Amino acid sequence: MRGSARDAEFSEYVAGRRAQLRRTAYLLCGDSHRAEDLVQTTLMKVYVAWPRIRRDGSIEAYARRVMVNAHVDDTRRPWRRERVGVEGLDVEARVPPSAEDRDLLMAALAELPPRQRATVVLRHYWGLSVEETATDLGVSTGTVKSQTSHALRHLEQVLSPHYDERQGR
Amino acid sequence: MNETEWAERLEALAAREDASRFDVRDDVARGRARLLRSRVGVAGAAVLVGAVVLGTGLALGGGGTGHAAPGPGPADGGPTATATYHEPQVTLSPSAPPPPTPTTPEPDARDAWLRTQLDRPWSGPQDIPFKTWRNDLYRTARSVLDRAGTHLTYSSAGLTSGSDQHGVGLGIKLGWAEPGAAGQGMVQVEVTSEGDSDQERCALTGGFGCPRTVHVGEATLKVGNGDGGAFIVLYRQPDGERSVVLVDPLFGNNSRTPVRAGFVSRQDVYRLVRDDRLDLPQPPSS
Repeated sequence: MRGSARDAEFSEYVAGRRAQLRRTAYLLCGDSHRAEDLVQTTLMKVYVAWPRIRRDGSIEAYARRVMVNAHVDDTRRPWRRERVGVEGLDVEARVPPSAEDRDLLMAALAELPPRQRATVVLRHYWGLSVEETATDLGVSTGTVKSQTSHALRHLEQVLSPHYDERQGR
Repeated sequence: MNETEWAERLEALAAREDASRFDVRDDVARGRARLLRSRVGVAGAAVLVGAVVLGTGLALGGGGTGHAAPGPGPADGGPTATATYHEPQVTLSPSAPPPPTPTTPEPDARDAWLRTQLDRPWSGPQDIPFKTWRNDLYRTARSVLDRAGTHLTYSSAGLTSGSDQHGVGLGIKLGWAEPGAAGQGMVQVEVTSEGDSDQERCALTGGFGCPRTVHVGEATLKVGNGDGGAFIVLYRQPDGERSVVLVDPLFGNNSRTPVRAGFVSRQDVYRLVRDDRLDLPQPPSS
């Protein structure tokens, strides 16, 4: 494949899909800077593999798989780890009523093991089926079901008291 | 909570991530660079394999006659020495930077101590290690970049860290505010003994490389520019450690509003990155 054709097709893909990849990365890692790193790493690999994955019609799946694996690898290594002492110094206030909900959800997501977190993001943010998620993650459908179940149960446990309190229960 | 509600909540959470600021050309450039590196790597492997085949052929040829090959040219001891090796079609740009020379430092007490500190479990901000060092680093940065003490803050109180088989990298992110104005910029200061190349280090820290060389006195600095007025400066200290300063008008962790580009002068950053107070923490006994 000629470089100019690859560049043109890849550019079109990036223009259309980068925002969702960035948001997916943010859900996976919970940090804007690391999310951008993840997206850049993912897109570099997508560019290199472009002729093959375009021919196979697997661009989206490949990008998701690369991103999840890069994130899981990142959590195993001390590379680029950041410990933040104080958070929320200038939190966006466009929708004040739900900001607390979102912070709580992000905090709860952060407590999940990386694979469980990826399962939740792929199933409920990307809207993938159990089978598609299993293919992306390279695991069985049973594993996806059990990981999803464990993850959602944990999220419910963490978030329910807050919701109950807010609703005056 | 049902599946739809989970999807809505995740959607709302993801939507607060500002994903609209990007330049497709940057992704294309990074992709090209990665592709080039992978091709050079494959070509290099081909050269290595070819050299092994040639060397084996020479050795076998020489061994068969009981004499060592007389020189670097093809041996005349048998057809394998000359027939199995073909020069790969590899063209390397003469302007390509030389590959980093990997060095394997002796593991020392400080390195081990740093790793031990980093591996300790932590449950909150009070457990983040190297508090004294982080505060000293903040004071150093302030003494160079913000002598009046009106702009730089270390309210994030965080630590960036990394490690590989060669060493450890540590740093802090400082906020930069303009009194009376909205927004927050960032100055990130790192010191590292890790073994990656200068370009990899800049890309890891800033998301972009530092291809430009700037000479300041006797010092050689690597400099790169990012989007929106961001720039990065890297300096290799005499002892081999590297200090890196990243300046970004937007402190993305803490704000959605950038401060003005050029809020810190490059000359000041060139001074900070060379400041001899930038050093990795020392164990308490040393």
